[in-house]
Amino acid sequence: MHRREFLKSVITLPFIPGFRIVIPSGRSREMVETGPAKKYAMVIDVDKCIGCGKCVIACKTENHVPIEAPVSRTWIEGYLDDKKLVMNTEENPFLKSKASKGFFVPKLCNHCANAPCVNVCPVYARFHTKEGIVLVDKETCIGCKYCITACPYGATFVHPEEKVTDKCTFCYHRLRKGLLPACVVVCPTGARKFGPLEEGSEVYDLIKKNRTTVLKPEAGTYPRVFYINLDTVVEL
Amino acid sequence: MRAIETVFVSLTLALTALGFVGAYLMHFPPPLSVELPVEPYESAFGVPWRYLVALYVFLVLLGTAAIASAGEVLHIKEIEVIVKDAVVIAILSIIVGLITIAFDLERIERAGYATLGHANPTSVMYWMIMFYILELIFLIVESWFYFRSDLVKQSELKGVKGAVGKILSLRFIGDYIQNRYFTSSALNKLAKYLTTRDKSIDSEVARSIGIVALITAVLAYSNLGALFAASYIPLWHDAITPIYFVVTAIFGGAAILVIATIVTSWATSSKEKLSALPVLRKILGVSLAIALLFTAWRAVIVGYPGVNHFAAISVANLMFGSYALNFWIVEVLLGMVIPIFLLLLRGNSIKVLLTSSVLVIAGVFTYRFDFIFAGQVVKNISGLSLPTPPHPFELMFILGALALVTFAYYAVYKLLPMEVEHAS
Repeated sequence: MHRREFLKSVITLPFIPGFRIVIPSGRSREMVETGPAKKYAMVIDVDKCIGCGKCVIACKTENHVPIEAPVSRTWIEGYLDDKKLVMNTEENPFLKSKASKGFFVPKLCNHCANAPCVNVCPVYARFHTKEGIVLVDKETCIGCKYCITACPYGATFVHPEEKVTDKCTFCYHRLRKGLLPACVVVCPTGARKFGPLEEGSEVYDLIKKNRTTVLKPEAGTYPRVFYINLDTVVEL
Repeated sequence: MRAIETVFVSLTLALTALGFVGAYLMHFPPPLSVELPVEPYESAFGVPWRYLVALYVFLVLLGTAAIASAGEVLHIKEIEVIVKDAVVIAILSIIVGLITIAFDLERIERAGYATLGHANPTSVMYWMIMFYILELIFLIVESWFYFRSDLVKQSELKGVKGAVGKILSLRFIGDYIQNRYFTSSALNKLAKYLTTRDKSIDSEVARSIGIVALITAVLAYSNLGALFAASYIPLWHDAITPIYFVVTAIFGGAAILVIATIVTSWATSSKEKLSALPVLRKILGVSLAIALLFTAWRAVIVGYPGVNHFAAISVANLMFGSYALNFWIVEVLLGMVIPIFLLLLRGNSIKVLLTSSVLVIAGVFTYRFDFIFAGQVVKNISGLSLPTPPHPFELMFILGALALVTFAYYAVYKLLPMEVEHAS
């Protein structure tokens, strides 16, 4: 590169959208450099979820989120007719209900292609991996909580012990070893499916052959979590 | 020291100490203390941005800097008599505001990341930090030129005030150069400038910096509005929020300047600065009227049924729900409507002007808290949640931060030449 070209690129770089001045500090950033380039997605069949909560326990155990903490990387919402239920009561609201329909909706970070949390983070502690997974650099996060207010899905929170923001990573540490996310492995009904978004994969076929939707499509975030048989009330 | 002064100093220092204890306890709570509020969002109760964020917004949006710079740039004589006060209040409130937001960070030791090495130019928050730091720098430089000439005069005194004058005016550098008999004419010119009073140059330079400071201030205020408006919170997501923030900053700044002018004039037994009150009254009245209009139309536009379901719920909650008393009584009636009427009917009276300004500050203080909380309690996923009361540690910090600004302003009056600047 000639000196003039180099200087020109240095001068114009800060004005190119998406350019970020970053000193790589976290181990997670090293993963980005070496990871595979496939794009991953999760497909959740709402009709198959029985609300057992095994995924929540598995996720908390795998990712060191305290079991007793009122926060979780993944959680299950229960609905009776068009009402969302408060699940953390002693009495199971589903047992005495006379509603005509009841269902569960597992939720987690949607790993948006156009992720608001990545855009708003002032220190660029959130970033996309080559696989399209949104990660948090816990060694850089300052805990300003802007990402929490920016996320349309309520999928991010302050980790009660680490004091940085935390969220689902699609179990990126397992993925790099060729393993599936913990929630997918433990689901007794196979409601959660995970894999690369490439022709011939299970996830690809599920999206192709079923009527799928994403949460809050109007937000323009392009989520990578797809739902089969999702009731319209949940899409609100 | 008068008895009232002793009480004031003791009280503000005690509250400041209490605030720092509160800040410490927020980050390192004692084992037996009541549990701190958990700050997850949709997946549980609570809201992520709480009282410290609201206090930060209140402090950094006291738009005295914009009023001072605009007064200087537009050659408004009446504003020039209070320009020092306006700039000092702006500097102090921004510094304490930045301290406040630093303590709200979960990892306060990483606060520096937001300015060095980890910049994300696509983040509105990054630009907010940059604009406020720039504004602070411009204000400090601008104020140096306002104070320099009087500081040179003060440097001739003995004791602490003399030392402060010598250091802050940089006269000691001038003296050093002169004593060394350098041959460089530029150095000798600089030495002469630093050791003599020449307000003509200072005023011109201060005015030039004032233009930049004014632009930066407006950018900072509106950028803070954009920080909220560019999020997915329905109550905040509105294109007029940045402009609305500028207007609220102006009337907040005008009101605090009225209070500061009247109180300091009373305390120093000097009536010179009271000549600024008629202009401040006009600024306060006009900006309040505009803000009232903004408030009404924001409520209609954001809360209009059929546009955004959750935005309508947010506005309904603000106007008729758990925030109705704050909104109608404190923000609108006491904070805007009554002050406008008072200013129109009896605005010439100092007592009425002071009362109006106190009401305006109470209103804008409440507005900052309501804006933050009423926005977040309406959750897109889990529905409406109840506002959480402030934690004792948060209350301690709020009182401490406000006391710190007040005490620092008092200390500035004691140490710096705050008397009215006259062109020589």
